[in-house]
Amino acid sequence: MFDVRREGVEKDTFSPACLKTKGSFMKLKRFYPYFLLAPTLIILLGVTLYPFIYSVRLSFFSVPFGRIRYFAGLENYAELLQDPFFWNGIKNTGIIGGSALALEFFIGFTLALLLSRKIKLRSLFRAIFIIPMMLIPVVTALIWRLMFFPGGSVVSDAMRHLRLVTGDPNWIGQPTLARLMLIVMDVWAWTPFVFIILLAGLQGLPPEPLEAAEVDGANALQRFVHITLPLLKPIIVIALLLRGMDVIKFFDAIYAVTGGGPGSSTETISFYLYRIGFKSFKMGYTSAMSVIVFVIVFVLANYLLRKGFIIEE
Amino acid sequence: MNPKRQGTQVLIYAVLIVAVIVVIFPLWWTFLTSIKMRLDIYHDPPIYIPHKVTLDFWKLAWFTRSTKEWYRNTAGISAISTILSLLIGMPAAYSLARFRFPGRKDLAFYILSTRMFPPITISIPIFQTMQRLGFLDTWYALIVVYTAFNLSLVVLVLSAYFKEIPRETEESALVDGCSTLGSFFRITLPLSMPGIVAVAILCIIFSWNEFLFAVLLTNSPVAKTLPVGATEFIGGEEGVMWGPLCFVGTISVLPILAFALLIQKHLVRGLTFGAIH
Amino acid sequence: MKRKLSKWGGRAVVMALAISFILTVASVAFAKFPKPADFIDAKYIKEYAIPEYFVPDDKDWVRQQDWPAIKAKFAGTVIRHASEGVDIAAPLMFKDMFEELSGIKVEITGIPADVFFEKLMMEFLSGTRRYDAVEFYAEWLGCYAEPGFLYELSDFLKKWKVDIADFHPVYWKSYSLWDGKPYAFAYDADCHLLHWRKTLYDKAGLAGPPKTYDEVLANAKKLTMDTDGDGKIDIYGFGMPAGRGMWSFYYGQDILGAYGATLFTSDWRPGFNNPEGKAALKMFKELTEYSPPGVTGWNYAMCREAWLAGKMAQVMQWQCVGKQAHLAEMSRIWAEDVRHDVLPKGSGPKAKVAPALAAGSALGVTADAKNPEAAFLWLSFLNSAETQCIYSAAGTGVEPSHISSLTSPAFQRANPTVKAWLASLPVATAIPRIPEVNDLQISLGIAINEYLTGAMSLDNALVGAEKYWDRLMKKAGYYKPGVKPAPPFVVADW
Repeated sequence: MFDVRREGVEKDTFSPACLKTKGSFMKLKRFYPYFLLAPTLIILLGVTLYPFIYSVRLSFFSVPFGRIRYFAGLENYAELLQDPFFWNGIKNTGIIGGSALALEFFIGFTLALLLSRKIKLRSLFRAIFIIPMMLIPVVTALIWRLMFFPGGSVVSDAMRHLRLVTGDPNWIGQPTLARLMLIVMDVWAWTPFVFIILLAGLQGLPPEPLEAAEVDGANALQRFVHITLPLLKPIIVIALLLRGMDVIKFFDAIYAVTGGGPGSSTETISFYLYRIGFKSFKMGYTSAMSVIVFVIVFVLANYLLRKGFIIEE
Repeated sequence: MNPKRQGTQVLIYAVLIVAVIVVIFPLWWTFLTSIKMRLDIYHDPPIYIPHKVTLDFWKLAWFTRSTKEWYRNTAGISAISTILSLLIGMPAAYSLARFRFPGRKDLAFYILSTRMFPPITISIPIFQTMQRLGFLDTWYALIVVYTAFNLSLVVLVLSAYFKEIPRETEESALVDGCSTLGSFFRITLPLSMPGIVAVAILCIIFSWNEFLFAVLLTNSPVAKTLPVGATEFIGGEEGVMWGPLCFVGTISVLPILAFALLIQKHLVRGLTFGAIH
Repeated sequence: MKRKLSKWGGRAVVMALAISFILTVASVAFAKFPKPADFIDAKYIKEYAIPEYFVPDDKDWVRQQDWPAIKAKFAGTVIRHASEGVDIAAPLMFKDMFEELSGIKVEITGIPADVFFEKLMMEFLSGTRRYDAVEFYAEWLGCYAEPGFLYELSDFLKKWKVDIADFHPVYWKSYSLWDGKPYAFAYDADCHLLHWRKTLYDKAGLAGPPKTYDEVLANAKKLTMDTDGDGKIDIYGFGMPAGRGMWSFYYGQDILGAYGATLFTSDWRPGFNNPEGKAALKMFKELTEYSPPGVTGWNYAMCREAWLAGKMAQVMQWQCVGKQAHLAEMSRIWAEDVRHDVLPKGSGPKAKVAPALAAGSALGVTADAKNPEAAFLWLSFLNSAETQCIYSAAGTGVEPSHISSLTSPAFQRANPTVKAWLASLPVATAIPRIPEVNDLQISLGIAINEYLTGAMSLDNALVGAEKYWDRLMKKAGYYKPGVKPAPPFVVADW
């Protein structure tokens, strides 16, 4: 898929020579890769194509609640670009989602590395670190709300014991603290995602290049930077992309805990979409917003893949 | 062991222990909240060791609501959609990882792009489609939707794992012609077990905990899943019925945890590369 | 021979008639009607001296119906009822008894609150004909009635002799009537009250109940205290849900009305961006300063938890948390003398008492129901005066709307908030039941919350909300000539 030039390791795709065929029957073998992909593509197209087209089309209509819809051209888009809540949502998504993603990556990678070494009780640790993802999101959100709620807050209690704060931080009433609270929630719940993907990636690395480098006298850091990281790049990229796209959909915690407040400081784009689409039922406007979000993510993902890594044909 | 090494080991264990505490505490708190008396739940300072506990909320959730049905539905729908996505996605992942063919890059990006559109907006056309197909309030609706959502995860992640395995390792088994299928089963699959296990766990978790489509596409205990059922304890006069809610949350984790514990030994490198050469 | 036959034949007929008469009478006599003792904890029956029935026979619709005849006609019918999440407890309590009486089977589905509105909308818009009976927040009456999703009930009400006069007029006008016609029953009738702890008032030497918000604030200042001498404030003087969106709106509505502002002027223009509105919201903000930290993020659940944990001396909230304050299993202040009163008025020339009729839910029959009459019977059953008293006193969280329920002495004993509640209704205010309600409420609520949290100045917040409302109402066509004027703010005047 997305190839990476690796030091000392050949690109590992089969050359088309393998697929060159002898005789007319064998000609079908050229389509072998497409056959393997076909079921996946059929299902994906079937489930997502109609909704996508429907939504894009709807974005050009105005659908006032309870009344007849009418064609509105680019009116929704024009309104969106001037909508302060829209930009606020993008900003908050960037702040909360971006910080969460960075932390999840850092912590997840560290834990994966630690557990790739020979440690006692390794399998126990591994199993434990996957668990946070497994809890029902709304329960997770509400339990964290219970633990953060000023006046009886377990988190504040712990921080007081560790001498990090005095008094009772107002997690729900102050914008910075509220955002921090949401970041903590997301990191707790979703670091396991990054952890498990990177751990499996580390486990799947061929040991020969590492052993060879050790024999050549490279120390641990050099081995990590020049061998492990490049080999892991496809997996790191995928983990970043997948988790990044999911963090944009961050919703449960905001709904259960802050409702987008205080003020509008924790209203992410997904919560604004919910507020407009599900509460006010303005489907034309919601569709336009979704299209813009889609375009932004599309462009960012594309950029990340092309510029950051060498893609070859 | 030299002191430096010992020091590193201690540091590592310290970090891990702290991580375990941070991970486990909220789960422990969830379990504890399910058995606490109502008054002890929102108390200042927080009550870490309640002097009285009760199983009344467990009984309420298990016997007076359709918790058993939610459990059955969630398990069935998650298992089936995970198996389907793995079966369908693995060949696609292999194709993207191993073959060079025109459109490969674009098809991969298309698969990625199916995750980019906000779900809220497409939920309504999907609702209408499911209604026309007669799938509403059945397992079919969610199985179809979850399989599609998990497919992109399976294909993209597994293709990255397949690429980790160097070509020579596979080609060493291809001495007699292009029996790619054989090399797949004998070499690629066992070596990429960690990746497959990781993806399987992720698919189960996503299907199990998904909320938006589950709530829109189901109505009755015939198809309702645990995340939707759990919300029957939120709202109304009591605000949040912590006891039953935390009970449902606690038992919801158990099957996934059991599954993960069972297969997680495959999360490590199975065969060593050396054995093949 | 013939004569003998006809003599025995005659006797047989008389016997048959006699037996069927006795059986009918017996089945009615032994039919199980909802009784308090069957559903309410014995200790509460004793404590509140609840008699066999809360309301007299002639006021309870259930006891007046000919159930055997109903059963004969409707046996075997299945109807589906959509209930909002947790409110499912009340219908669940009664559906078996209803099936026994009427032969109608009720399947109840719970829908989570956060998707309730849109899920119902999607079902309606897609014509799935999934539900016969639906519950919805009273404010959404216009959202469902205007597009024609609800069944107009006047014929059924007449046919089954429902005593409309027993519905409290304020609830009848705001929960049931739309465009002059009945589309729903009031199910969970709500009202905002001031609950205050007289025990704390006495300790601080204060006299209550406070009659103006200025008094409330002054008392709140004195009641905010550190009770155990550790330097940390343990009890705050006041509290209310002031979270972003709906919550700031609901309680903003109370205070705006108390100072003489309104939501709409008679020509549908926003009525809150004026000196009265500003004074009201300034008071709102000052009150948050004597409330526990986090109050500007509180939803209903968080405020309730803080109140029942004893964190504040006074609270402005729905009736239910007042009642719950007296229950030992959920309240830490149950032993105190907790009182309930009508919300105070503001200050200034236009000040008046004007509590908000916020939220609350109604029950309707869907327009495309497969069995509308059966659904109507179920809703009538669920909404009858006795049933309402029972499920309220049993702690399901759903509150009655019948006059006979609210004036029943036994019910008043079981629910100490009723007197203040009854006194609040004649002056209560409500937002007009138009389809745009959600958007209006949330936008104003967000603006108020921005001001409360200091993110925006008062003027900017009000101007912003006013502009948004203006644009919304204009787009919806309310500023065209010939549009009916907005209903008055006070429901009793509708």
